[in-house]
This record gives sequence, C-alpha cells and structure tokens, in this order.
Amino acid sequence: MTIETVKVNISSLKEHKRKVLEVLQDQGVVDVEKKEEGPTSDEEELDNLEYKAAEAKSAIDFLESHQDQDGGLLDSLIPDKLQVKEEDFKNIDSNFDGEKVNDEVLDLEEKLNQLQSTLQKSKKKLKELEKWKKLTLSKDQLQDLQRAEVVFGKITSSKLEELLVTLKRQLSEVVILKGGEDARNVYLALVFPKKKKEEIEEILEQEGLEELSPDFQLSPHEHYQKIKEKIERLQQKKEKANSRIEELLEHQKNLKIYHDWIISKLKRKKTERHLEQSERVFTITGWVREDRVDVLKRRLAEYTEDVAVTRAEDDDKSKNPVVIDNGGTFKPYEMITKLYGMPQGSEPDPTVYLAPFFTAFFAMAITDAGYGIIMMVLSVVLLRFTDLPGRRLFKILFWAGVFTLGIGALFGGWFGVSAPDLPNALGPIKTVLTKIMWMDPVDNPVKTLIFTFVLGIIQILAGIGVATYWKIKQGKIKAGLMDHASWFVFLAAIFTWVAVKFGYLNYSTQLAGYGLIAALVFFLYCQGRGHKNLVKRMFIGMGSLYDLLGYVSDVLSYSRLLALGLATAIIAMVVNLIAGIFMEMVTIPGLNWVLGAFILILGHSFNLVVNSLSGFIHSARLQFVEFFPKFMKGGGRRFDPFKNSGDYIELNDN
Amino acid sequence: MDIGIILVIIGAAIAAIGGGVGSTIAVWRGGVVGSSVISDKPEVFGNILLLQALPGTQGIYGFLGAVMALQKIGLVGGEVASVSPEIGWQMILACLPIGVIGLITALLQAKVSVAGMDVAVEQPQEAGKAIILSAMVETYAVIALLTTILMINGLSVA
Repeated sequence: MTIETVKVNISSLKEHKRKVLEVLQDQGVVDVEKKEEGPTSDEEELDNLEYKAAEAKSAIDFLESHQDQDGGLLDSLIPDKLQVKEEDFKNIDSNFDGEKVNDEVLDLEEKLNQLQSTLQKSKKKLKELEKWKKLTLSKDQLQDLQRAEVVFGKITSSKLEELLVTLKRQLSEVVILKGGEDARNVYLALVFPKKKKEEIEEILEQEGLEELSPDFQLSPHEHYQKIKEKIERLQQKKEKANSRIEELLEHQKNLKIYHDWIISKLKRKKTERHLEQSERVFTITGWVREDRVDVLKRRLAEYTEDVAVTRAEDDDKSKNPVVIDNGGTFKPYEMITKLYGMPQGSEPDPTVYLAPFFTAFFAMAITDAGYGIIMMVLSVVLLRFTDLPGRRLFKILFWAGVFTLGIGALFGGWFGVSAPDLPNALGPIKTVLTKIMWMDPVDNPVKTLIFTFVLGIIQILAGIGVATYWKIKQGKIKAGLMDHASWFVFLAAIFTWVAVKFGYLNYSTQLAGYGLIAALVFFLYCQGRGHKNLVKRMFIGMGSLYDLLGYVSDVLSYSRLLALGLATAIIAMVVNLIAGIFMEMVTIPGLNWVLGAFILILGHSFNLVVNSLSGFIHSARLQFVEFFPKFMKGGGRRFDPFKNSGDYIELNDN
Repeated sequence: MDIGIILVIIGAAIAAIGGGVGSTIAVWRGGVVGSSVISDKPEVFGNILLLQALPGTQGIYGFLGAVMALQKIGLVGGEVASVSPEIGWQMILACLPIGVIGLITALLQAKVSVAGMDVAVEQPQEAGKAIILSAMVETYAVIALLTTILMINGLSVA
C-alpha cells in the first residue's frame, strides 16, 4: 500500500546535535530536506573521513583482486549487499582495528608492486646473461690483458664449425671461449694478440660473426648465479607477502563494514550542512512516514527531553516522497513496482494488484510444468541453503514456479513432452497428467490465443476496478462510479452484444443492440461529467470512446504470452529431438546416455534461462504499459531516508 | 525431391536467416559499445549484458519459425509429407513476417539498447527502465512470430 509522508521539523539544543543525528541515522526514517549547503562544524574532519574511506576502498579493491574467484555472473547480474547485523555494524570500531588492517594491506600492495618490478628487471637481466653464463672470466679481467684484444660476438650455430676451422687454419693464437647459446646463436668471446686485430676482424666479418658489447662486471658465470639467487629471494618474499594477503582476506568482511561505517559517519557530517542553526538551537526539516512519527518521537525522547518534533508547513504535498509497504508474500513484488517508479502519494500502490497477474503471465510465457518444478526447487535451494544475493528475486521465482507448474499442467507440457506423449512406463501418473491437461497450445494456437486475450480482458477490467475502488475509498464516490465504473456497464453491453451476434448466447440480436445503445448513452452521460449542457456533455463523453480503441489494442498485446509460451515449448521439443538424434547416432552403450543427458541438461537450462528473461521483461511490460495507466500515473519521488548505509553492506535486525 | 519441399526449406531459411542476421548484428553492436562502457565501470556488467542480450531474441524467434515450418512437413521428426508447390509458396509467405520483422526489429532494438547503456552507467538503479524501453521494440518481433506461427498452423499439409 502507498504510505504518504509528512513534513516535520525536528529541533533540539545544539549540545545534543551529535546524538540526535545519530539516533535519526540509526532509525533511518527521515528523508532530510536538502537545503543550501552551509558550512559544517569542521571541514577538516570531513576531509579526514573522506580520505579514510578512500583508503579503505582501495584496500578492499586490492583484496578483492587477490581472491581466486569473483562472484561470477550471478553476482554481477543481481548485485546485492552483504547482510550485517546492526550490532556488528555499531561496534565495528571497537572490535576491529580498521586503520591497522588498512595500512597493512596498502603497505603490502606497495611492497608487492615493488617486488614485482624488481623481479621483472632481474629476470630480464638473467635472460641476457644466459648467453654468457659459461664465461668464468670477467670482462675487465679479459680486457686487462696487456697485449691481447677481446671481441665478444654471436654467430649462427650452423656457421660456428666453419668459423672455427677457418680460424684454426689461419691463426693458432686465438683463444675461443664459449659463453653460451640460445636457439639460434652461439655466444663467443675471442681473445687474440693485439697485432692480429685487423686480420682477425676481417675473418670474423667474413664468417658472419656479429660483434656485441655485453654488459657485465663480475665474471658472467658468477653474475648469473648471483642474479639467480636474487630472483629466488624475491620469489620467496613475494610468496610470503602473498600468503600474508591470504591471511588478510578473512578481514575482508570487516573491512567492508568498517568502510561503510566511515561512510555513514561521513553522511552524518554532511547532513549537518542541511540544518538550520541558531545560537543554541538547531532544526532539521524532513519527511517522515505518517505512521512513524510517533515512533520517532519516542526514540528521540529516550535520549533527551529537549527535543521537539513538530509538523512543518507543507504547501505542496505532491513533492512529498512516497513509500510503498507490503506485507509477506507481496513484499518481493515491490521490486517490480520500483522498476517502473513510485506511485504518487495520492495513488494506489500497484504491488498487490500486479503480483498475481505478473506471476501468471510469467507462467504463461514458460508454459512448461517441468520447468515450473525446476524453478520451485531451484528457488527453495537458493533460499534455504545459500546466502546468495537477490533473495527477493528468488521468492518471485518460487511463486512463478508454482504458477508455471499449474499452467504447464493445464497445457500439458512436461519438459517439452506433451502429456499424452509421455512414456507409458509412467503408468497412472501419465493418466492423471493427461486427464488434467486442457489442451496443447502447439496444436491449438488459436484457442490459446483467445485464452491470452481473456487474460488481458481480465487484467484490464481489474485495472478499472482498482481505479473505481481507489476513488471510492478516497471519498470521491461520484468520480469513481461515473468515470470508472461506467466502463463496466458499457463493456458488459459490448460483450453481450458480441456474444449474441456470434451465437454464443441465444438471445435476440435486436434487443442486445438496443441494450448496447442504451449503455453507450449512459456511458457518454457519465464520462462527460462536469458539464451542464447535455449536448456538450455527450460530446465530451465521446472523447472517452477513444480509450476503447486503446483497450482493444491493449488486449491484443497479451497475444505475446502465446508467442512466448510456444517459443519455450518448441525449443524444449527441439532440445529433446536433438538429444534423441545424438543418442541414436552414438552406438557405444553408456556413452549415448551420457551424451543425451548432457544435451538435455544444457539445452533445457538454456531454454529456461532465455525464456525466463523474456518472460520477466514481457510480463513486467504488460503491467507497466497495459495495467498501470488504468489507475495510476506514477512519478512519485522515492523516499530516501537518512540512514546507515554504504556501498557494501545492508543492515538487518535479526 | 519435391519442388514443394524445396520451397518450404527456403521459407524456413528466410525465417532463420532474417532473425539470425538481425540478432547477430544487434548483439555485436551492443557488445562493442558495452565493452567500452564496462572498461570504465565494470560493476554495471549485469545490466549491460542484459541490454546486449535483449535484441538476441529475434534470432531465436527466427529459428522457431524455421522449426515450425520444417516440422509441419515432417522434416524435423516424423515422416516427410509430399508438398505441393502451392503449399511451398504459402510457407514462404508465412515465414516472411518473422524473417523480415525479426531483422528490422533486432537492428532497431539494438539502437535503443545501446542508448540504454548510458542510463545503466549514469544511473545503475534505473537500468531496469532502459531494459523495458528496449523490450518495447521487441513487441513487434513477438507479434510477427505469432503471425508466422498462426499462418503455418493454418496451412494444411497432406
């Protein structure tokens, strides 16, 4: 139901400001009016809190990036928050040293980054030295030789033999030291007398040795070993840091609570900007649910006597935020109403009315009893045995499953198999299922189409009914009866006339025609309400006839339910067919069953997911576009109370 | 093979190709825009995925029309019926609605979906509204599918 809010002023002495704000935030029942931003008591604390929150956030992000697996697809489809007990939230600062954990995480992050970059540099160096690691003499040592000259270079492995032969033939004084090799080249250091330099360099060039000037001081062999050890040390350090991070992962939850606790504090500080303050007194203006004003007064009084909650001047009620609140089974369906937006404060909350229709239409879009069972089982398992986010959705899924089972049984679809085609091994079950089956929509699409139209007519009539009821409830009896209820008379006359005309009712066509004309005149008379001149009144009433056209196209819109239902049924049939074909093709016993089961599970899951999505969206659309306009305009402002909330957690009382 | 059967297969192909091509292009466009959006704001992935997937339905509807057509003459599970050329031509006509409308709606729905991605990024809590707007275009694909199904159902094959 829609609950209106009232504008109140909450005033108290300045010394109670902190506590009063805290109480208001804990209660979370006041939507504080945003005023021009005045200065807060201290900007410095605000900055400090913002800095802390940012630090906590980056620590959380870092830890999250370190987790093996993230929440996966479901998590990102239905982002929901961590459920935290209010008590744990309030006491987080005393139970958990957020700042310390924060600092440690951020230190570790920095350390890891440094380690990573050093490690990368070392690995690069190691790769370079790989080519020279067999040289036990250092570059300096080699170059210190008085009369000798050293040349470093690489040569393609296949040319090495030739080079050696040539060198040996022409000069015996050359010492050739092999540094190492990679896939294509051999790396050499050649030592020879200085005076032979030109001669030798000519040979080397001819033979295709590419001169290099490698960078090492120690002997490459030692240098290589040292770097190798260094890398090992770095790896160890990295592992240690990583295992520390693993340990810190357990603080993730607390860190999130801590973050949101700071955010809440920050919010409180920021709300101070919207207060009106005089020397000794401050006032908060905001909206409170009508039925919560007394609770608020009591809670504040528990803390201090020096607080007054008074009704504020409220000249434009249409700007007041709106709350919708429904009990029990209907609660999850608020999600669908909110998807559309809030009703105005003076309009009915559509949640209760849309719930049965939405669920039934969703079921029509699936029309397979087998899938209904899966949906029920799945939602119960998810609700009972997991704490996955999106519980409201699962509750809707459960009822959708129940309805789908019912409607599916009516249309005889069981995992794409029509009840009469079920295997005979099922015996009496098959008999029962066939008995409760009404008709197969694949064989009787026209009949099913008419059925969907009937569903549409029922919902549209229900919409007019809601409008009538609401107007009467508000005391606008005349408006309710004349604007809305007159439609019933008119539509009933039309239905009767159609029924008589097409022979469904055995009655005089002429009489039905007169009835229709009488109803039309009555209808025009009612619709033109507010105009004294009878002719003008009838003429104005004609405008409403245009709505009739709208109603007809509304009803046709429900045909989508048939198309969606058939889509599910036929894809299910095709999945069964493909599984059958594969099982016939594969002749290895055992394997064909495994393959068949695999295709069935995969195919039916795909079908269920895809068609649930369509079913959800199109049933929602039927509510928004076809149902809602009959009794509401929407566009109410959502109630946004000042409360404890943050990015990661949601508080619950139990 | 009867010329009639060939015509029916052409009809089924039109249905599957129309829906398939439309959805492929539509989902591709959504994916390209979606990726750039996700790189800025990975947390909205769920809604972006939905918006991208929405115009993918036409491909399924086209496939469905094709299956209905093939099933009618027994090419999918059952005895292949003998089909006259007249029936074949009628089947092609019956497949046109989902083939053509599926193609067009998928392409246009992609545009609404892509525009809706802005909403999903700027105001993630309102993304549901963008999804509904996109689904409005799909209505006509659903109606076209229904038309195709009703027409195929109305044909009488010996």
